[in-house]
Amino acid sequence: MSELAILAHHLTVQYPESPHPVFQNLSLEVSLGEFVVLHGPTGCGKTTLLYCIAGIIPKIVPARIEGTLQVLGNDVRSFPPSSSPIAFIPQRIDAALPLTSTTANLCLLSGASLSEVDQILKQLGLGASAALEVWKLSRGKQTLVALAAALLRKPRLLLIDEAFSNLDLQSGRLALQLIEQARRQNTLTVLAVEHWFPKQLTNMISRTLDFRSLVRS
Amino acid sequence: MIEAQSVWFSYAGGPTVIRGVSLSVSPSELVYIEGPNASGKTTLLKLLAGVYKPLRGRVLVDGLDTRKTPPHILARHVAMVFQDPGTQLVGRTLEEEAVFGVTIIGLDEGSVRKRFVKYLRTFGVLHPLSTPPRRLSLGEQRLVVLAACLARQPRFILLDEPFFGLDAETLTSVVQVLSSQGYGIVIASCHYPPFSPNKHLHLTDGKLQ
Ligand SMILES: Nc1ncnc2c1ncn2[C@@H]1O[C@H](COP(=O)(O)OP(=O)(O)OP(=O)(O)O)[C@@H](O)[C@H]1O
Ligand SMILES: [Mg+2]
Repeated sequence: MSELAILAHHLTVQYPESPHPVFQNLSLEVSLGEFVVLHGPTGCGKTTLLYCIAGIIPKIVPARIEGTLQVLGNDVRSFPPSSSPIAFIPQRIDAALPLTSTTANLCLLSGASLSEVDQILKQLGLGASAALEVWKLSRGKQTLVALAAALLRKPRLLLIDEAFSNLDLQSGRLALQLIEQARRQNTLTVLAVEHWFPKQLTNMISRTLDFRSLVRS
Repeated sequence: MIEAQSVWFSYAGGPTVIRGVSLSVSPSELVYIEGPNASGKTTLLKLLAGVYKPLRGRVLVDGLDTRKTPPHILARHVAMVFQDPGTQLVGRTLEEEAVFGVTIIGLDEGSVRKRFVKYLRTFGVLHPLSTPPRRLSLGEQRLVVLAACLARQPRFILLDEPFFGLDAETLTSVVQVLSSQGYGIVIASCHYPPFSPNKHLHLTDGKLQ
């Protein structure tokens, strides 16, 4: 078993109907337990990379993948969807959160107990929103709910497609503290794609990476 | 000119979210509203755009009261790019996105399409017009919605949390383009601005400071 959580080598991805690949010959290594923040220009393929690592490509979104991609020591396609060790927070969480109360959302998405849900909501300062329908929350609060749902599933790999641009400094700090706590409890690797990350909080992550440096041939 | 005069708002059955907000935006002015999560930024922008109507007070856009002016008239004065721009996309292709509904607001499809393409290319989105907008990245979708808004030549443009999907550099250059063309701009965000606005306001618990 390798000590890498993510190993991508010579990865090339092309969507059907698209004349050229999204990216070519991408290489990325993330060690177990690391918290890596990835940034890069609009439309360069960051979401596509996360889709590949999460197994969404090609299982749900069709695309041609070439090269090596090992996630937690396995080929991603071998994880059974129901008990996947990967949690994914998509950019469009408005489409991913069920239209129920905040508490019901967390139970439905994570299978956690009411008391666990209660505790995490308090930690995130969302206690007052517990009974409120999640679509009535502001976008930033919805992002915290999505993070809580992901962490309650106790994943070994957490993939985040932009959370911090929608979080104010205080919420950003709460989010990072919660992730930190999860990383201390068991080995959790985090790969977050972010356009905006608070400078004040960079001491809470392992390193930042520029997407463009991953595809240099 | 956009003028909010002692505007109050609450969602049905909910607590008061906007509490007596007054502000004015002149043509070619860049107004930045900074505030924490749930302070009411999205709600306030939607009030300025006429998407929501004040429960008390009023919003005037170029003298038009948003409660009394139909959307197709308001559209010639003010446009808004939502925090989740994907929820605003209507076309099956970028081409359709550009011209959707423009004849209803009294514009010519050909010139709207031309302006749309010019803005899109200026913003660095180079996909062919036959591309389905849903296939673009979130940042590109934000730029597509913005280009479609601008192609309709409103006088004021409202951007809700534009850092979502765009890096600070791209956003700064987009704002420069808009400013140089004389648009009145209102940006709402939970982050400190990376450029200097004409007015930097703070929204806390639905109140402006
Ligand atoms: N559709 C809705 N129904 C009921 N309440 C709502 C609705 N939308 C927003 N609210 C409430 O209004 C308040 C302000 O929300 P708003 O979305 O305007 O905040 P915001 O400043 O834009 O926050 P963020 O930075 O997270 O985007 C919040 O308490 C929110 O829960
Ligand atoms: Mg908002």
